Amino acid sequence: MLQLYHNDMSTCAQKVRLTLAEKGLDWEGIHFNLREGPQQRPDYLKLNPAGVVPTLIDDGRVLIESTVIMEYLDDRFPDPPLRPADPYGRTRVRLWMKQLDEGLHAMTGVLSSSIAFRYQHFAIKSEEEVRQTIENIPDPGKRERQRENILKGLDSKFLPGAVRRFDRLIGDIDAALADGDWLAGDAFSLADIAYTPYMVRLTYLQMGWLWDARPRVPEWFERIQARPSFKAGIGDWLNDKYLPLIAEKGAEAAGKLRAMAG
Amino acid sequence: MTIELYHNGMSTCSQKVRITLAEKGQDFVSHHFNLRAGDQHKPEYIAINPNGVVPTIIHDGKIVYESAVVDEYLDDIFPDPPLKPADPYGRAKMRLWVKQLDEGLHAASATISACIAFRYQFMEGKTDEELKKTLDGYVDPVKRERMTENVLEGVESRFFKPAIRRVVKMLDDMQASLSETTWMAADTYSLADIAFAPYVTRVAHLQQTWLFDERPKVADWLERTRARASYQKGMVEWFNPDFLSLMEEKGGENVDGVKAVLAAG
Repeated sequence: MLQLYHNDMSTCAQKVRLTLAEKGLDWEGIHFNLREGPQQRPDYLKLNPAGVVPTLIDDGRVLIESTVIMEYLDDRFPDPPLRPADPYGRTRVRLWMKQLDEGLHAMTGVLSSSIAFRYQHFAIKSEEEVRQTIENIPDPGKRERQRENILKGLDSKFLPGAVRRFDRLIGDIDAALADGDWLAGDAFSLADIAYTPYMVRLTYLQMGWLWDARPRVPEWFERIQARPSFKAGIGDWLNDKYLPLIAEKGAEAAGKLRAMAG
Repeated sequence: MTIELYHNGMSTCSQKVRITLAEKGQDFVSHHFNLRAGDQHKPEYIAINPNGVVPTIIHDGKIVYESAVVDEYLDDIFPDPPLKPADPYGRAKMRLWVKQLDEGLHAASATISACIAFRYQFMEGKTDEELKKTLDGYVDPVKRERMTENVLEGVESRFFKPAIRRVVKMLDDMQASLSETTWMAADTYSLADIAFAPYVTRVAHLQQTWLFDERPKVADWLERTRARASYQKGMVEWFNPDFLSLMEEKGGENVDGVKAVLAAG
């Protein structure tokens, strides 16, 4: 049986759960509460040196990084296929997935932290403790981002760039959907799965205004939500402790965020 | 069916694609760009590749860019000889390597190259105005900020230290992996080996071969990689002698400086 180390609201865990559901695979979950830090424990770091979720174990083989796991699952369990059969169609899937690695995923963290998740830190820690938590982040780039996002919130210097990047992304998605019902053409693929968690996050952050003038985007998102995999991979795992906070803080920030998109 | 390749002799991403074409025995029609003159930022090229970078291939009317995507495409359309491990787990290991390049390793290599050597090419014979115009031509704002500081500040750029450390981590990770398998992802040569050949070569060209002394598996891998005909055809035949002599001169001058940055902790 496949084993998955994951977290309910993590975008990368959502991608892998969606893929497992599309493939109709059974799996055993080990759920981590990321705010408690089990992902930093030495026994987990042996499996996943970056200390992040998800990690998939298949018959003793350890797989990390959500986009790599998604292609692995499609290679290992080819039916139903989640990549186009033709090589050019595959390049389109890979171009979409690659953009996440090149910064889009990190920018989702900028949005979530600076708009909403920063309040979770301040709710349970003193300002001094929050600062200490940030200084303990091993990766210097992530540390600098979190210092801005958590301490300065909507005044984070990373926020305007992140908002503009998502505005461009939604424009790119809209343009791609002019050619077919799905991101990489006429068939649902790993590209659609890869972007679903970010659409969910933007929706909860009350940033649906990004697609007000781009009707193909909400239509596509509706089609995704109508698939059974959406409930199994995302809906059943939504954390009620997070959602009201994200929605409330997102609504408060909406005016400023719109102005940043220009 | 002809393959057209938009590329540059010394660009690491172009090198990856040329090695793959050579491994597959495929010839191509060359459109060689002078990147210092900004050929890649011209509107007619941006219409093909909106990111304004090389390489791009046009095959059978289809435009494909981003070297990692191009290499997988070439392996899909020309399956023989295969350049992906046969088993899914090996493929995952291969993709895990290649993905790291997108996540900052390619940028780190560009930073150390610019800070140690290529900055002199950018500055040579240009007025401040002309230099600013060239640097402002970068489409991606993050890349523009990084390149501007790297060209103007050299190894004093605040981007240099994390970049050289990232490159050393690459060599450490390769040493560990090559202690388990003959090639980077498996016991067979794959797109992972192709993807990393340009970056390890760059470390050597920048005269930092002392980094291989304590990593003998990497040195051995580089020797085996260099012995392949595809390395000759995809890399060596396109080396620009002016670039090599600049990297040799400026790299040699900076060996102690690089050692000092790494020792500073």
